[in-house]
Amino acid sequence: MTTFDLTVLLLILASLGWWLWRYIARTFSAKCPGSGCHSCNGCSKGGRPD
Amino acid sequence: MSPDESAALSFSDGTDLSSSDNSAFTIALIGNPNCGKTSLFNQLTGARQRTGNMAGVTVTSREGNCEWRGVEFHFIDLPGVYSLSNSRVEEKVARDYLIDSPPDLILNVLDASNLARNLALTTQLMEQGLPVVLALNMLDELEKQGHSVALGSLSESLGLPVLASDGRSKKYLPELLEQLLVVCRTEQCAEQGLHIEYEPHLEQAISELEALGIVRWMAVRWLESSGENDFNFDANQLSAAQSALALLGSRHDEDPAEMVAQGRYGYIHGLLHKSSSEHRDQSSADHWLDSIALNRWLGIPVFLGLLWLMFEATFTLGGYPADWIDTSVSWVGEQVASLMPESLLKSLLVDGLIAGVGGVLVFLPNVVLLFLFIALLEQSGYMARAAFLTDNLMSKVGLHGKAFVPLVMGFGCNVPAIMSARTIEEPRARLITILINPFMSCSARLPVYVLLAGIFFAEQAGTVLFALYMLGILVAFGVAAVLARTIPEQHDETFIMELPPWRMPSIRSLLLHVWDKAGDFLRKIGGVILVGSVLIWLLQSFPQNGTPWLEQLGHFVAPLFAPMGFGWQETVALLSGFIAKEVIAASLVVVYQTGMSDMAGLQAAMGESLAPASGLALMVFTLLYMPCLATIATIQRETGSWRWVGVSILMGLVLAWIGAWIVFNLASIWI
Amino acid sequence: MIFGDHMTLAQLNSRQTARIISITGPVALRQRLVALGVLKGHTISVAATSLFGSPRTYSVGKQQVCLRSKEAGYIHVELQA
Repeated sequence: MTTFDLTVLLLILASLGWWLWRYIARTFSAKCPGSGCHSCNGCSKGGRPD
Repeated sequence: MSPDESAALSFSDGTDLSSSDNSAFTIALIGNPNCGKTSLFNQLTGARQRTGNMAGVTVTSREGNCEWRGVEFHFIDLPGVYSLSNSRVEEKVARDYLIDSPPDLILNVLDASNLARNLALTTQLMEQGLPVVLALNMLDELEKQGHSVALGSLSESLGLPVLASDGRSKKYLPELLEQLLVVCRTEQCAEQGLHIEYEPHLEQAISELEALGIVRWMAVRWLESSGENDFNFDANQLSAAQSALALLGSRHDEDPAEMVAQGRYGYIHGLLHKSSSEHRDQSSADHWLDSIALNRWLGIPVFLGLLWLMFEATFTLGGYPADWIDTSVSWVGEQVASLMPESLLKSLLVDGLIAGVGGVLVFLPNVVLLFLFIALLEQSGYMARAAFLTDNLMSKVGLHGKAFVPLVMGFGCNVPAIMSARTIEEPRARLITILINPFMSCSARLPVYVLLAGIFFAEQAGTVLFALYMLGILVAFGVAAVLARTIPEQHDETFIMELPPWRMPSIRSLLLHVWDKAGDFLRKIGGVILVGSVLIWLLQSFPQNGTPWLEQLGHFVAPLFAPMGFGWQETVALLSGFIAKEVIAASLVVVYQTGMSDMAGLQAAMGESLAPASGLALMVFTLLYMPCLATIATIQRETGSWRWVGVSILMGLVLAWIGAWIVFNLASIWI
Repeated sequence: MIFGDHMTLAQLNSRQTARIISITGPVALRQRLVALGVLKGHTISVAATSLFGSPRTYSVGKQQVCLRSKEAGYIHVELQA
C-alpha cells in the first residue's frame, strides 16, 4: 500500500466516522425532525440543505 | 400538544409585535380543509411543499416569507380547520396560536363554491375581534355552477376586505399583496368584535358570563364547546359558566354548539342574501365521476385497477429516462476509470461512489413518477374516496378512519407519515397506526423492487410491484387486527369525513410537488446513500490480500438467510439497508462487481447467481423487515418509548423472515 | 308525512330525501357535525353506499359527508316528498 493510498484510506475513515456520528446524532435528537435539516428551521442550520 | 408542535408554533420571538418597526408583518393563513389554502400559501411564499386534498395534512404549521414593495411578510400556514371550538388536535393548534401569539393580520381563505360553511369560521374570527382579510378561492368553480358572489357587497356587509385569489395562478396575487400591505399599514384593529344575536336563552347565558367579566367571544366559545375550550376562568366564573350550561341543557334538547351554529348560519344567510346570486343550499355534490368511483360494486375494482395501472406506469414509463441516466453514469465511470492512474482513490470513485450512487440514481424517474401519481390521486379528490371505499375494512381491523392519511403518506416516506398520526386522538388507534406504518412500502424500497423485478420478472414487473404493495397493506392490516385485540381501547373516537369536490389538479402545483420530491431523493442520494456506498466499498476492499471483511460478515450471517436461497451478497445488502432502504440497491451494485459499469452487467450477474424465487423472496424481505434508522428514531419520538421500537423491529424481522420463506417456497413450486 | 322518532339517517333508503329533525349522540360527534354545517332543518340524501353498506356518503347542502352507520344512527330525520 502506497503512502497516497494510506492517506486516502485515513481520510475516508475520518469523514465516514464523522458523517455517521452526525447523522445518528441528528436522527435521534429530539430537536431535529426526521425529515432532515432541509425543511426545518429549528437551529441556525435551518434552510440549508443537509 | 407535543413539545415539537409548541416549538413549531413559538415563532413570535423574531417578530416583536409591539415594536415600531413597520417593515415586517406576520400574517397567518387560516381556512377550512380543502379550501386551497396551502396552494395559496405556496403561491405567496414560493415554498415547495405538499398540498393534500385530505383533512389534516398540515399538523404543524408551516412558515414562509415574501417581500412586497420593501415590506417583509412572514406567512404562517395554520392547519385546515372547520371551526375553532372543537377539541381536535388541529383546532387546538390554530386556536392556541391565535390566542397566544396573535399575528398582525389573518388571511382567511374561503372556498367560494361552499361559501356558507366557510364563512362560519370567519364569524368565529370576527367575534374574536381579530384583524381579518378574506381571500375567496375557487371562484371559477362557482361560476361553472352558474353563480356569482359580489365581492364588494360582501366586503361592505362584513366590514372586511374581500379579495379574489387562486391557488393555481398568480393573477390575483399583486392585488392581494397590495391589500395586505394597506391593511397592515393602517393598523386598523377591530376594537369591537362581531356581535351576532343568538337564541334568547343562549343570550341570557352569555350576558350572565359577561357580567362576571368574561369577554363575549370567550363566553360564546366556552358554551359552544361545552366547556372544552379552556380560557383560564377563575373559580367563580367557572361555576357560573357551568350552571349556565346546565340550565341551557335542561331547557333545550340541542347541544349549545348547534344553537350557536344556528345563530351563525342565520347571520351568514342574511349576508349571502345580499351579495350572492344564490343563497339557497343546493347540492352540487353530484358528479358523474362519483357514480363510478363510489359505485357500490365497481368502486373497489376500479380502485385496485387504478393502483395496478399506477405501478405498471411507474415501471414502464420510468424505464426510458432510467436508461439515459444509466448510460450517462456508465460514461462518467468509464471516463474516470480511463483518466485516473491505478490507486485506492480510483477504486473508491469508480467501484464505490459512482457504482453505488449511480446504481440508485437510475431509479429517480420511477420514484418521481410514483410521487406524481399519488399527488394526482390526492389533488383530484380521489384519495378521500378511496378512504371511503376502504373504511369498512379498516374499521374491522381496529384502525380509525383518520389512519388513512398516515398510511397513504407512508408510501412516500414513513417518517412524516408516522408524525401525521398525531391527528388521531385515541391512543390505541394512534399507536397501531404508528406501528403498522413501516409495512406501507415507502419510496425508498421502490429502487430495490424495480431493480429485482427488472431482472427476474421484466414482463410482469407492474404486477409484481402491485402485489408487493398489496402484501404490505395486508400484513399491515393483519398486524393491526392482532394489536387491536391485545391493546385495550381507551375511548371511542367518531369518524366523520367530508368528501372534497372533484378538482382538476393544477399542473404547476403537481410539477412543484414532483420537483420537491426529486430534490429530496437527490439530497438523500448525496447523503446517506453515498455514505452507505462508501462504507460497503470499504468493507469490500479490505483487507487487500485475503477474503474481504464484507464477505466474511456475509458468510457469517448467511446461514440465517440460506432457507430463502440468498447468497452472502444479498445478506450484506439487507444488513446495509438498515441505514436507509435505498442502500440495499447501492450495496448490490457495489458487491456484484461485474467489471461492466452499467445496469445490464449487474442484471446479468444477479440473474445468474440468484433463482427467481429468491429474487421474489428478497423483495418480500425488503418490504417487511425492520424500519430504517430515521423511522426508528421517529417511532421512538412519537411513542415516547424504546419498548415499541423494539416491538416494531422484532415484529418486522420475524414477519419478513416468515413471509420471505413462504414466498420462496411457493414460488419455487410455481416458477 | 312524519315518521317521528323512529327514523334515523341510517335507515334512509338510497333514493329518499329527508330533513334533519334532531341530532343526538356524544358531544364530540354533535360538535363535529355542526362544524361541517350539518344542522337541524337541512335536507339530506344518500349519495353513495360502500360495498358492505357502511359507511355511506350523504349530500347535505353543497357537500358530501361520509358517515358510518353507527354515527348516522344518531341523526333523526323525517322523510320528504
